[in-house]
Order: sequence, then structure tokens, then C-alpha cells
Amino acid sequence: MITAKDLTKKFDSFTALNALNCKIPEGCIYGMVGSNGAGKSTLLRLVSGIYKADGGSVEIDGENVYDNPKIKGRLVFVPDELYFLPRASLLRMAKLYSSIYERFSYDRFKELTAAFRLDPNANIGTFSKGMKRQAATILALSCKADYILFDETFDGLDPVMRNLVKNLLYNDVMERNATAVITSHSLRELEDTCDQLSLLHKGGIIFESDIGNLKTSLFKVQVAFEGEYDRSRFEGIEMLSFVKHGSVASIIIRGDREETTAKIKAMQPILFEILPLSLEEVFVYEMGALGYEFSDVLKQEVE
Amino acid sequence: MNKIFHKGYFSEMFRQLKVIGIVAAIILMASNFTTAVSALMSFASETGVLANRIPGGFELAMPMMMYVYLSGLVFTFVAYNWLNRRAYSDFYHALPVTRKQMYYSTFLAIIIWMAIGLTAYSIVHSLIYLIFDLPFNYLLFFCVYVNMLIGAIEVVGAVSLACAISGTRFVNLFASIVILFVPRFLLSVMSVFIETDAPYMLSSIASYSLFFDPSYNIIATPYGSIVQMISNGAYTVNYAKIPAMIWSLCWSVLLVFLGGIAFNKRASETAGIPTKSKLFQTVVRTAIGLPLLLLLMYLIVNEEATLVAGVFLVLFSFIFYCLYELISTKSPKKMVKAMPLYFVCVGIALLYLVIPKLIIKAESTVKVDENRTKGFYVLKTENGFFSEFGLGGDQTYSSIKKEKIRITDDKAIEILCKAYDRNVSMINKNSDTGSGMWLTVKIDRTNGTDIVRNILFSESEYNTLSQLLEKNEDYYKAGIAFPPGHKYFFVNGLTRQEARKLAAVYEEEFASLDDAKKLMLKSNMSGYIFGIDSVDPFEVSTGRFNMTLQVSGCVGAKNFNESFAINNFTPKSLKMYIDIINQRNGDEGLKMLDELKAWFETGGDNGSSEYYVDIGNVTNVYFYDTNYGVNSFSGNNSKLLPKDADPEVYEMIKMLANAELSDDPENALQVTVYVSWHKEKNISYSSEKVIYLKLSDEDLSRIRDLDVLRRVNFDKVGDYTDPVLD
Repeated sequence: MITAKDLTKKFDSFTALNALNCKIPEGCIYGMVGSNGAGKSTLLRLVSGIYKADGGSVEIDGENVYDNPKIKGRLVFVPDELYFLPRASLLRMAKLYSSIYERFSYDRFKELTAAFRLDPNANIGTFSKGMKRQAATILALSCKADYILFDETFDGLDPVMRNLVKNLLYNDVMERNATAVITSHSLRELEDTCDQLSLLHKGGIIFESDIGNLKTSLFKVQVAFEGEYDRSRFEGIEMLSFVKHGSVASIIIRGDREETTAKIKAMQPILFEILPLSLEEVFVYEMGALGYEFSDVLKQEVE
Repeated sequence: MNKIFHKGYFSEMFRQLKVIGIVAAIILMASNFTTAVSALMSFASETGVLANRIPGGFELAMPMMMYVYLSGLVFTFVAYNWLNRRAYSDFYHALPVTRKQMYYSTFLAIIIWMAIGLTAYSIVHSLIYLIFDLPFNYLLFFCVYVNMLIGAIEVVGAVSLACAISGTRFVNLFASIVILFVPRFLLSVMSVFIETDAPYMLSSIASYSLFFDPSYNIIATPYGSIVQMISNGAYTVNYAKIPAMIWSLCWSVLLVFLGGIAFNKRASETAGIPTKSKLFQTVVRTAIGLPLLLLLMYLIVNEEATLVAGVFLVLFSFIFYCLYELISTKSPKKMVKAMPLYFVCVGIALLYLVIPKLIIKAESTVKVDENRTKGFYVLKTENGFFSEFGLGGDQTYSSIKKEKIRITDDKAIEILCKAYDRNVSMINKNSDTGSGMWLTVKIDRTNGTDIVRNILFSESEYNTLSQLLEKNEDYYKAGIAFPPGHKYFFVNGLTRQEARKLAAVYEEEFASLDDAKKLMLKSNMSGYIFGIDSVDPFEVSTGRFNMTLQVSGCVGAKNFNESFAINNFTPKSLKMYIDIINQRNGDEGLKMLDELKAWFETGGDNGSSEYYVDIGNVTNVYFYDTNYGVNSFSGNNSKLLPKDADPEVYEMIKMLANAELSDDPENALQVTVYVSWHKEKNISYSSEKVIYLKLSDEDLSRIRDLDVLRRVNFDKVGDYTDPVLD
């Protein structure tokens, strides 16, 4: 489990992370979204032991990560800006990784290079942006790490490759109980990949939830009654939003879906319909409930 | 070990440096090619005097030193290339390797590559000397090799430290230079100031060994030779000084260790930032502003400073100071902010006016008197009896022996103490040094310590001391010793094998001589310049022959080079030499004399031609004719136009041309003929021919009477100069 307690990181006068707390359980895919400068990359760099925290701590399985090769050997980090040795081929990079990572598997490496259809002897410098990310993914996944940290994982990958990476991640999580932490600007990208999602804003996690819960506990209801009514009619139901057009009200409700359905049906509505919410909509309403304007927090993602 | 070493990371770094390592080693090894070729050429020509000299420490160190500097810098920059870019830095810092492991594994990988280069070079270099049997001091070379290995540690330590505390290539480079050179540079400049303040007085670089002696921390002091020059030979860089090596190693290890600490503390996010340390930035900036100010201080001390020079030097020092700040930080604001701190530079420079005086003052408080002095050693001398330097400034075997002899003679100690006292009083009165001779002496004190001082002796003190030492048996024996052990021999005009054979004969002859003759054979060739009045070119023992047996060898790591005269005191050697030379040069030499004679007979007006003839050891007579006029040729010796020459000169040439080759030193006259160009015959000779001619007593006496040296037509020649060997 990755645990961050009051994690703070400053770069001169800029505070990248401000007393951040989070727990990432084992065997899950944990997604992080946030605008530029929200602190996603900084958090990943702290988790992977690149940066030293200015305050608080970040631990993996109860051990501090910074300058701790025992723990760092169990995690692998693929940054947003990739690095390869000058003029190196995938095979040369594999040599580097295998020298450092005890669990590095050449069998896996071969499998992955075949799956991604990359020439292991070709100079990585000649690869396209997407191919370079594939190369980095191959190397990272060949390390068979317990914790896989991906910064902007899908940046530059075409849809086919995105799916391939996702599937590989699922496999690692399923088969080896690995934990993947991935960041993205795209909520949609994470929606069908992650088990848990957090939203970072100005160096802190302002929202964190299990995706399954998130989607099932928040839903949109369209309802109409004979005669006049207002939101007071729905007392006892937690509403994040109530908008009425004519006799039809659109309500965003948080709570148990069946229980809420039973409650509303008992009011004998002339129209009752439960509509699915996209993850983005869920975020909009959850953020609104927390007093944030979603468009401010995740402006780019909405755009 | 695991805490500071990571096998995987080490092997990765070793791999990353492989190409550079191999290329650098090949380049260094290739420099051996030059040595081999020059050795072969010298071997083939049989005339290269330098081939007889055992290479000194600095010559041996030069290629390796360049390698250590350049490859140390390149290796370290390449190994830490990732430190200067955020993405690269993040990648490496994400690896499961501790910072300490990274640092020390990288260090080891670099050092091993450098050691491979140095070792490969050293083996090949030694083999070349071994195969060609060239003069070489293997112990000295080994010492140089060890010094260079230590130097490699130091350079890598310094550059690693620089990389750890700075985050751009530009600052890396300047920081490396500052760490590596500035401390020793400042100390060496201080020693120069001391020498300037008190030349030939009490101060001696050797007396402040640890801080001022360039032998300590050799790699940081390639300017050791400059110090050597400034100290007028009173100081030589010693590559075989064990304490100096230990000091260098300690300093190197300290640098590596400091680099390790800095690297351990270095945050990945500092990549690309010139330096986080304001103090360090100030240090580098100050170091860049200092040299020109120190030059100004030097001019002030020497009373050579002018207002223009002062303004110029301060202005440029300030410009360099500001430019560095501007380029490294790319911030004009920071540059302006740093300007007031320029006074730190000025302050340090001003210290150079004060500290040397304080040091000399402190030095002069050390009392040296008869009661406190057990004895003394003469380490270096300026001139005279003690002065025995061979080729290229090498010591003679005798001087190496002599400097180990402790002089305990009461009278000598009294002279020393008197001279010392006078030197102290000169310093105290700030008076002029006056004239005299200086010696560098190591004084053994009764309290068990010793001090090294340059002491100026008056001429009479010096002469008395010389006489006392001549009477000292050990000293005298050292002065007439023939070097034992493995030696290299060189005799002009002979092959190595011939020289070796001749040396064997000579050594036997030398051993059988009495001490006075031995001393004559050695002192004849010890650098004393003979005047025309003191040497008779027809005198067998002095002027008739000028050949020497040069002996090179080593005592431990010290090289020596000594010349022994071959003359009638060593008749077997002399005959052997004459026979070999005549056999080799005889026909050619006689032919040249014939041509010269014919030239005289035809009036010598054949366009541009030039001959000269040497007789014995001390005379040169030029014969030339040129279209450019009589006096257009400038030379040091007497000149003669054939058509205007004294008829007796022709007589002399005729006698020489008609003579036969000699096989007896008693009647042999050494004649050197050289024709540089003969237009009419279209001949040119590339080298002079020495021959030994047999002249009857009558002819010899006739030539002596002609005394062509003195009676050539001086008035027609115009610019006659004394035919003294220079």
C-alpha cells in the first residue's frame, strides 16, 4: 500500500504539494487527474523516490521510499518526459534495466516487444513519440514491479495501443496483484481503466473515490408529479442538484440506487427514469457539492 | 561495500563509458607512436644527443597528465550527463540504487577506465624503451604512473564534486577548474610572491613543501615548471616524493568524499539550475576575477605597475567577474547584485602584498647558529664547484652523491651561520641582496628538526666553502666518481654498440687513473667555458679533442647525466674513437678538404659557396663566397674569403688536404670539415665530417706557427669575434 501523509513539496516559493494525504491500496489501478501544476507528476516523483519530501512522508508498505533501493526495486516509474540512452536500442535499454532491476524478465521483454511489434535492435531515437512511449512501457512492464507508476500513460498512443497497454495493466494487476498508479488529463481515459480515482488541485487531493461506487452512488433521476412540487418533496434523499423545467425535475442523487428508487416510486410519480452519468458528470456534481467549480479544477479536461 | 557499491549500476556505467574509454586509451597509446618514431630516428641517426638523456619526470608525465585532465573531464561529464537535465535526472533517480551507490559505482567505473588507459599506455611506453634499449628510468616512470593514477582520482573527484554542486555544463566546467586548480594556484602564486620579495634570501619553496611545493598535488600544478623557472632552478618538481604522493592521495580522496556528500544531498530537481549554493557561485566568480588582480599585485611588488596597466587589469578582471555571473545565471539582475562582492577579489589580491612579507618575517625569526646546527647538506647551487648539471638540467651522478653528504666541518658551519645571519639582517633592514652566490641548504638542527633555506653567500664565503668541501674526502670522492650500475652511453658519431664498447674500455682506464686526472676528465666537461688564452688547440689534453663520453643513468628515481672527456689521459679510448671515426668519415673528409683546396686554387670565385674547418676543440675558420657581398654573412666566428685570405691559410689547407688519416692520438689533429653548399659542383653535405689527420711534427708545428686563428685577415673580415666556443 502506498501511503502519503501530510506530504509537502516545494520548489522555491512554489508549493507543488501541500500536506497531501492519500492511501493507494494494493492490487488496484489508481488514477489521478488534475490540471497542469495540480501536483500529479510531483506526487508520482515523490512516490517513486525521485524527490525528497519537504514535509510529511510517503511510504510503500510502511517503508520510506526516498533513497531506499529495496522499495524502489519493487516499483517502476514511467515519466511524462521519457529518457533513453543516446542512440540506444530497446535491447540496450533492457540491458540497463536488467542490470538494475532484479526482477527484470527478458522473456516478458520479448513477449512485449512482439506484442507492440517493435524492433528491439532499432535505435529508439528514430521512433515516433508513440513508439517511444510503447518502448518505455515495455521496459517498465518487463521489470515485473509491484508498483507501476505511469505519468501521462496514454499520451501519444493510438487507440489500439492504448487498449493494449490497458490490457497489460489489467493482467499485471490481476495476475501479480500489482498496483498501478496512472495520471492523465483525460477523465474518459481513466474511466474504464481505474478502480479508484482522485482529483488533484493546487497540491492537494480534493476528491478521491472508488470508481464503481462513484458511478453507482451518484445517479441522475428525471421525475414528474401531478400538481406543483419542489425539492422539499424529496426530503431524506441526498440531492447534489435539483433542476425543474415545467413539471419535470432533473435530480442528481447520491445514495443507494434501489433504496432511492423505492422511495421515489412510493411518491407515485407520473414519470420516473434513472439516467446514467458519465464520469465527467459525476465529477462535476461531486466537485460542485464540495464547493469547487469543476471547470476551474479540471478546465482542460472539460475543454 | 554494498552501501556504496551497486554491481549492476557499476557495470551499466562501465558499459556507458566503454566507447570513450577505448577511444581515449587508443589516443593516449597513439602518443607512444611519436616516442617510438623519435626513438627510431634517433637510433638511426646516431647523433641525437637528447637520445642519451633519460626522460625527466615532467616529460614522462606530460602525455599522461593531458590524458588525465581531458579524459577525467570527459568521462565524468558523460557519466553525469543526466544530472543537468530534469527528465534525465528523474530517470536515474528513480532507479533502485542509492545515491551513494550511484556516486561511488560511477566513480569506480570512471577510474577503472582511466586506469586501463594509463596502464596500457605505460606498458607500451616502457616496452618501447625496453625494446630499443633507450635511456629510461623505470622507477621514475612508475612513480609518474602512480602520480597520474592519483591525479585521475583527483580530477574525477573534482569534476564529480563540481557536477554535484552545479546543474549546468557551463558551471560544471568552471566549478571543476576552480576546485582542481584554484587552491594550488593561489598557493603557488603566493610562493612566487615570496620568492619575488626575498630572492636568494631565506625563503625557499622547499621549506613550505606541503602548501607551496608543486611536487605536492602534482596533477593540479602543471605550472610547477613555471615555479621552477621563477625560482631560478632552486626548485625542481619531484615525481618520486612519497609524502607528496600521500598528500595528493589524501586530497584526492577528500575531493571524492566531498563529491559523495554533495551528490547524496543533491536534489533531482536542481538539474538545469546553475547552482543552488550562493557561496559556491561567489567562490567561482571570485576565482575568475582574481588572476588579473594578482598579476597587478605582482607588478606592484616588482615596482613595474603603471596606471594604465592597473586600470586595464582591474577593468578586465571586473568584466570577467561580471560576465561569468551573467552567463551562468542568465540574469542581469543577479549580475548587478553580485557587483559589490567584487571587493572580495580585491581583498584577497591585497593579501598577496601582506602575507609574503609576514611569512618571510616569520621565517627570519628562526635562529641558526653554531650551537644549534649539527650540520648541513647542499641541495642546490648557483655556480662553481658544486654546479654539475648535465643535459637538460639533469643532475650529475656526483651532485646526487654530494647532496646526501652532511657537512659537519666547524669552519663550514661557521660560514653558513654567518651568511644566514647576514641574510636575516638584510631582510630586517629590507636592504638590497647585493652580490654573491646562493645555495639551497638543508640545515640539520640540534633539536632534531631541519630547515631548508636559500642562502646568499658572499664571494669569499663561497670560495672558502668550496675549498673546504674540496678537502672533504667524501665530497672529493663523490666529485670523481664514475657512476656504477646500469648506464647508457653516448659518444658523438658512434653507434650505440660502439659507444658501449668504448665505454667499457674508458671505464677501465678511468678506474686506473689518479684522482687528479679523474677530476680533470670530469671538470673539463662540467660546463666550464675555456677561454682562448687558457686552451691551446694543439694541446692533446685540452684543446685538440672535444669528444666526450656521456653517461646517463639513475640513482633511484633520480636521473643523472654526466660527461667525461676522452683525451690523452685515456689513450686506449681515444685511439678506439679515432679509429672508428676515421674509418667512417676518412674518405669523405679528405675529399672535402681536396675540394676546398681546389676552390682556393681556382680563386674561389664560383658563386655562393660556404665551407668551414674546425681545428681541434676551439677554432672555427669559415671560407665563404657569396653574391650578396662580403659582409652579408653573419656568424660568430672568424670568416675568410679565399681570394682575400692570407696565403698562409691556403698553405694550411694544402697541408691538411695532403695529410693522411691518423691512427695515433699523439700525432692526430682533429679536423672538422663542413661544406654547406658548393654551387659550381652542385654539392651539399648534410652533416659535418670529423676526421683525425696524421701530421708530422714539422707540419703540426708549421700550422701552429701559422696560427691561423690569430692571423687571419681580420681587417678584411670585418666582424671578427673571438673564436671562443659558445
